[in-house]
Amino acid sequence: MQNLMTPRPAVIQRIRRQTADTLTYTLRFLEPEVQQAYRFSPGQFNEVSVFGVGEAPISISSAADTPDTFEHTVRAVGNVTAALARLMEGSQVGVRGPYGHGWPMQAMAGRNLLLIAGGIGLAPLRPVILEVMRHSDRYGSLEILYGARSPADLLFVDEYDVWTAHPQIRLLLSVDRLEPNPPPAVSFPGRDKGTDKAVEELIRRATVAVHRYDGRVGPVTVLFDQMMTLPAGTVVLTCGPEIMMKFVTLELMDRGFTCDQIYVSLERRMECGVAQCGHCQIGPLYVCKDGPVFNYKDVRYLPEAVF
Amino acid sequence: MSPPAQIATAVRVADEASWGQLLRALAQTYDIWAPVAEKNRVILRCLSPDELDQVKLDAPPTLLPAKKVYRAPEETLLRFRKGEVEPLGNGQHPWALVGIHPCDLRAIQLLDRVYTGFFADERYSHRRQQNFLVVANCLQPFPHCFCTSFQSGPFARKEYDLAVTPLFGRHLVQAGSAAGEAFLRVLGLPETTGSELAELVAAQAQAEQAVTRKVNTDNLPRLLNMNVDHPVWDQIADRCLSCGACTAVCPTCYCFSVQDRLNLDLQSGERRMAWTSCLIMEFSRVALGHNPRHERVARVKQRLYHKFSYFNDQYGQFGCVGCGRCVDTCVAGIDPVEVLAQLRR
Repeated sequence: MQNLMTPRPAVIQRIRRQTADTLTYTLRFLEPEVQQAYRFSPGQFNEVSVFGVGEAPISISSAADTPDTFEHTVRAVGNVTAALARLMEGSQVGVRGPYGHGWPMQAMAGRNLLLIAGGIGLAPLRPVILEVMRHSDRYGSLEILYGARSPADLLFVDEYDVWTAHPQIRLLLSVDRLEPNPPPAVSFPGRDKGTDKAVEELIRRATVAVHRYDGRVGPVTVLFDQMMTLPAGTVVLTCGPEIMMKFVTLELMDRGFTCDQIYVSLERRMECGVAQCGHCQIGPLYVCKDGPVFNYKDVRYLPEAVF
Repeated sequence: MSPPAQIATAVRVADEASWGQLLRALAQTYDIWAPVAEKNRVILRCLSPDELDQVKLDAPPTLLPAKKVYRAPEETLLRFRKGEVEPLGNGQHPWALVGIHPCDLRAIQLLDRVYTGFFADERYSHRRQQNFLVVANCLQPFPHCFCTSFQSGPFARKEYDLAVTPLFGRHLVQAGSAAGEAFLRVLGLPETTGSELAELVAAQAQAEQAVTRKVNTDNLPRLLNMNVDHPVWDQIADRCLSCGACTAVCPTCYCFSVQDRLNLDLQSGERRMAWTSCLIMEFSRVALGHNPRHERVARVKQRLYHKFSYFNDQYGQFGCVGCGRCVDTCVAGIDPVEVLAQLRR
């Protein structure tokens, strides 16, 4: 019997390293008819299973109109994500989804877009960037404010040149500090054979990243004084740590943006994705079903001081 | 689940012998789950055919409510072997729930909304369609009952197959669905022409009056939303032990956790779901460590706000049926009736 929570097998076709603790997985459902029927909207997520370890909700980081594959960009921080990081190309995982409400693509049509992301929060926004590049006539300008812990922690660095070569796109970067982070707590033994070499490689990458880095130092909000996007005719999308989004929304309001033009993507523990396990509830909302993307005005006054 | 029908006015009278006959007839088609006395508690369990005389109709609320037969405290969601998911039947024999209280019946209707409202859980729906519900109306409230505040008792109003009221040594039986009606007809239990219907109406009025514990539900969600900083929350958070017993015994608490168990071959295993509780510290903690309800007061509030406010937003009704189990179970003596009354003082 197919249960609501039964995942379908998917094969990891490709793994690309983003940072010391983050990898991008290109996946394809094993059954062609499942892959063929699979459609998602930017900002939605899948529940990804490593059988024997568990399941985790992970946002989709690829373009929504790629019919043959989909991608997850995953930071190894928990049990499932660390287990994912140990898998090799060709490995099989379980996937079910997509779930939730993504970015408001209809409200974004014809508007200027301001994307403000922190850390891994850029992953669910990448589909929006790719969408603007593919269908630039449908959108106005796209300005991206992106903050990470250190230059070596910036995601999708090899794509920045392509993004910024696009006439509508502007990218501003900030990092908390220039020094790289200590080597990650989780190692990837399957991939990084010979730990010394792996650490050496990470240090080399970090050094290169610092050397190349020409952005600002400070929280992502330091980029506001360089920001060119004006409130009129703009939709703001933000995803990152809750504390970052709290200050981002405050700053935006100070600069004349209204709460109904700001959209936030929230993170909560989710064990089912289908509004039944109860974990992701904030007040009357199920983040898995009603979100993870919310209009800021709908979550501004929620309990537990989200914002 | 049979289609809802008009509340039957036809009453049938079963003496001790024909009530036993009714149970035996049910047991031919269904596994019988019923409240039975076990040690010093009453529990809901599956009875063998020779245990049918143990069914207790006037028992206090069962230790665990009916939710445990629709979703067991722990059950297997799927099995896997080398990354392949093995199909899993729902393997539930048709079963009858005999002697559940009207409040528990209402709780099942609320669970329907949770498990089939937004996304339909096939296993739950299957079990729900397989069941035959015999509700036992309550004549006397138990110490913690407050069902009348939520219109969930002491008499059942709808969505049962049979309702039975033990009155003056007889069992007054009413059919609430086509299936229930058909069952009674086959059994050959004649409709009464006596004054039993009038007796039932009187008994219902009396039973309702006997429930003296009340929650004032006027504008209750609004009252809660205006009192998020009321001192009563800190007072009960100081006493609460975060044990989660109230959520385990609650007939409408539905939260569960999912966990994989790997067999010794490290290749096969199963994914299990188990009841959990929003009162437990880890309940909402995410992988990086952020926990939106780290403080106990936030967790205590979450449970009561969900029952009396959020559930209304989500499913259009209060999430409490007034069974009183949480009050009976809480070792710290936290009583929602008392807490809600304090908000109005």
